[in-house]
Amino acid sequence: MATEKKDQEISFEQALARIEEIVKSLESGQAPLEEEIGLYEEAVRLTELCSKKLKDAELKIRTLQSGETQEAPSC
Amino acid sequence: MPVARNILTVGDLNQFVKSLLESNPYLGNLYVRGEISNFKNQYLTGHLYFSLKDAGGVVGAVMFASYASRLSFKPEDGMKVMAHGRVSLYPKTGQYQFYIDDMQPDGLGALYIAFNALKEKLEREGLFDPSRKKPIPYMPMHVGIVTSETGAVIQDMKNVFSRRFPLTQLTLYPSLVQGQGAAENLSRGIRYFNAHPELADVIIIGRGGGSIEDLWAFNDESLAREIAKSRIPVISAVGHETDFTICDFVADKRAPTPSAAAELAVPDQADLFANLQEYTTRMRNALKKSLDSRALALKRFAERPVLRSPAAAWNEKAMQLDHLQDRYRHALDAHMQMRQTGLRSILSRPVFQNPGAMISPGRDRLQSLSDRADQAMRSRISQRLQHADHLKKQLDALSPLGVLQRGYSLTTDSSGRVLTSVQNIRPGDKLTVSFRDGRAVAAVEQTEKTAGGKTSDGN
Repeated sequence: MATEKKDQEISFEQALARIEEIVKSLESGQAPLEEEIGLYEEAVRLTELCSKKLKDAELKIRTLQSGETQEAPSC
Repeated sequence: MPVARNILTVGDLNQFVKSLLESNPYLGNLYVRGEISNFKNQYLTGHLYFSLKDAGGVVGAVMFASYASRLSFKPEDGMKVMAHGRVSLYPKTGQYQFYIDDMQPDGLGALYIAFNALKEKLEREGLFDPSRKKPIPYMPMHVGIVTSETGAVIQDMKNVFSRRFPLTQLTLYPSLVQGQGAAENLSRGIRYFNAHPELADVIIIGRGGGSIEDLWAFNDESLAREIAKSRIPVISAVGHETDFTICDFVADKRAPTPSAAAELAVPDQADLFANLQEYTTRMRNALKKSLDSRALALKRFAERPVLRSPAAAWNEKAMQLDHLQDRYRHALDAHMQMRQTGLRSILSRPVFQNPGAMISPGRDRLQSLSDRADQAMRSRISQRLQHADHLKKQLDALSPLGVLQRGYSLTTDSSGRVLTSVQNIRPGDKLTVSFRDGRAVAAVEQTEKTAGGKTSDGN
């Protein structure tokens, strides 16, 4: 599904920011009901995505090699 | 005896010498090197009392608790120290004393003075100003670390990042952290991340605990300037809680230890999970509120009589009519009653009671008048009742229920629309036929138009 593909690409921070946006929008109660339910569904999906990303995350650390840290001759 | 010209009290003398000592700028700000003896820690107040001595002599020394609490080592007898402070006199004993505000084990004396000199210089330049400090991002996805590749520090930091926010990508710039070339190496690390900002939303620079010489690279002036120049926020984490370096002052944030720096750099995933939970709760509440308010609006709408049932409007009219009839009947009864009571009271008067014959004709006449009035009233009421009945019959005839009562039926399509024409009906369509006492669902087998039938175009 298109939305799922979109969700895969969204970053954790983007998802979190979107959830915060939706919470505010729902709390303002301005949108039509159908839209509100759509937003809620989106937020639930993003919440699951965030939780999954956090749970599945494994810390990545890269140690720079001496070849990389050579400075270009100062200009 | 000399003239008592310059006779002072002891107290005055001591005060005078004290003010002399305190007015000398050199004595107000100096370093003294010596060995601690007679060390006494006043546990109650926290003030330290001792002597500083060397081959040339002894001087009393005081270090008040507020300064003593900042010492990064434990002073004791026999220890050689370099102390900074001012000279004054204690009037109670008449002894002059060295009032110490800072102290380092000797041997570090030169470093210590250099440290203070650099600190003052950079401070004057404004490099430590709070207004220069860049905020640390709340959720850095990339953290650059400049420290030793070996040792516990990087391992400790990795553990903290794993526990708190494992989504962060760490990049380690391995650097010497002490000795020859360390300061330059650390500076290159800061430069490297500024040249590759995609690798670091925040930089942590640091090392584990050690002696003041071990930490010395972090007091380097060019490193301090490199940190001040960094466009990426820098967290400094050098040694232990009590160790302060120039790096700490110039960095955007000082962490007491490298592990603490990792804690400062990223949010805790436990908090993030809690936030997500809270958001979900808030959204549910908002949505529930929204649904409730709409359901209430709908309920109010549905409660309008015309929508409650198809016959409701008609029923109401019928009820009004019934009510009207009741009022008529009641009015009739009341009228009759009034008439009769009124009559009785007139007839019971003595004049009517006694010489009956005399007034009898009058009585008869009265009775007849009364009867006529009754008659007229009755017939008027009866007319109205008949009219009301007629109206009710008309309403009955108009009511859909009335029509069904008479053997007609009502046909609706699947969406509930009443069908008035054969047009638009196709074989196979499901129709609902409503009767007086129920409904039947029927399938259309075939349709045909009545010859000459008008197909009124409904919807």
